[in-house]
Amino acid sequence: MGLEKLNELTAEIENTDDRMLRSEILIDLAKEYAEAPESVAKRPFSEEHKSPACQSDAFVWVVRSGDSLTPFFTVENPQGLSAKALAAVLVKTCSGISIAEMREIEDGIVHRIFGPTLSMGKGEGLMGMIRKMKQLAEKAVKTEGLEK
Amino acid sequence: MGTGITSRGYAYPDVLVSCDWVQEHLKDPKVRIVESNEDPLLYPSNHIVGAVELDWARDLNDPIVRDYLNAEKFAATMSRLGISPDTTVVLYGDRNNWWSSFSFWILKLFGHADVRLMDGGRLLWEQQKRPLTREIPKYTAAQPYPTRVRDDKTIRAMREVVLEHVKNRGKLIDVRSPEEFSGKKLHMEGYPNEGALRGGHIAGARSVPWSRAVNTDTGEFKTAAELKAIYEGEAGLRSSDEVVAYCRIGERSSHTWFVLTYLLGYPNVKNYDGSWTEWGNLVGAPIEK
Repeated sequence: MGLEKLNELTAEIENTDDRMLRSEILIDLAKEYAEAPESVAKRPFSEEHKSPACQSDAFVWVVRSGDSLTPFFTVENPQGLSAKALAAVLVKTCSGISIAEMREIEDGIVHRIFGPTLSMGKGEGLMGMIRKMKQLAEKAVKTEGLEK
Repeated sequence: MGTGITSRGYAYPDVLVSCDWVQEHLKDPKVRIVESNEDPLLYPSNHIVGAVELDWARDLNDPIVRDYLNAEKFAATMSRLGISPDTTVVLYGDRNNWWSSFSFWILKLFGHADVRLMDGGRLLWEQQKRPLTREIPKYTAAQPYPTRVRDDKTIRAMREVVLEHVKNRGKLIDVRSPEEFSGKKLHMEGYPNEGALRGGHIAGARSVPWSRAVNTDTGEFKTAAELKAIYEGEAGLRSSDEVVAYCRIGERSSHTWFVLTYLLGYPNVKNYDGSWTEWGNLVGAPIEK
């Protein structure tokens, strides 16, 4: 495992200069989104898992299995396509990574993925999903004694 | 579906149109349907047949200075969307018409005469399973859009106006979440700056989160009686008041500006678009928690 998948997908989207084509890629990714299974989280979700700046009410969980971490997301706003696309990217590329790899993920990738015209509020919301994922990953390894 | 628009007691009911009205006017050359969203992926994913997109970040802002586009760029944008000065512009969008209200306000800054909102926005249109398409239309404006100077005084409040308003104990409505109003939510742990150095609210402001004006199930606006109960009964406003609404960057507060101005008929409402990202960073500005 590693961050190769995330880096590759981010670079592929970032290098798509045509705005409409980039939107198409992200819309297709949003279609791959699946909410967190009940085995991970049941409604009502704890506020601890809510991405704080996200206007689409995105909830985040990180599940440890051995020394690998897997993120899960539920986006409550049915029209929150950008949040769903980011959730799909992170689930698709970051499932099974280590805490060291998780720490390397920069929240600024949202600007590479969604493009330079991303508004401040939207950017904050999407970055909040990554920050929450990393925060919960740290918590998971602390709880399980896997800090290193 | 909620109560019909005309029976809700609004001061200016014509400014709201129903989904039925929009569907009946899809091919009306005098009407341009315009989608304005918080989520930039929604319009390309699908939209009302014949609708064009007006994106806040790309289309309405100056790319360098923190301000809106100038008169020339606004005229060019309107012409690109096939909008003439006499076009009836009907805006709709996601999140209970949050961003479409903002676009409405911008169009009014430039004096566009006939602007309306589709009640219920995208949510209600989708709920009613009305037709959507991915086809992006192209229009030519029937006549060139004139270059009009933006009016930054009548419905827009700059910080000097707000400072004076506070000094005069004028009415202020903070439309952010209660956590933002109280100053509890300024940033999340480990990320100390999400746009403002100070938390809290402008001294003297009352808290009425913007979304209280709509029925969240359908996205439709509440009746005038329900709105009065909130803004007058709870927040103590009167229609004769000069009111300044604000949020973080002025988009949520444009929704409240719309409600107070058109649904309740208040003649003196301004939107402070500098909002908390300016006030919360302004040295010496009066803040309460």
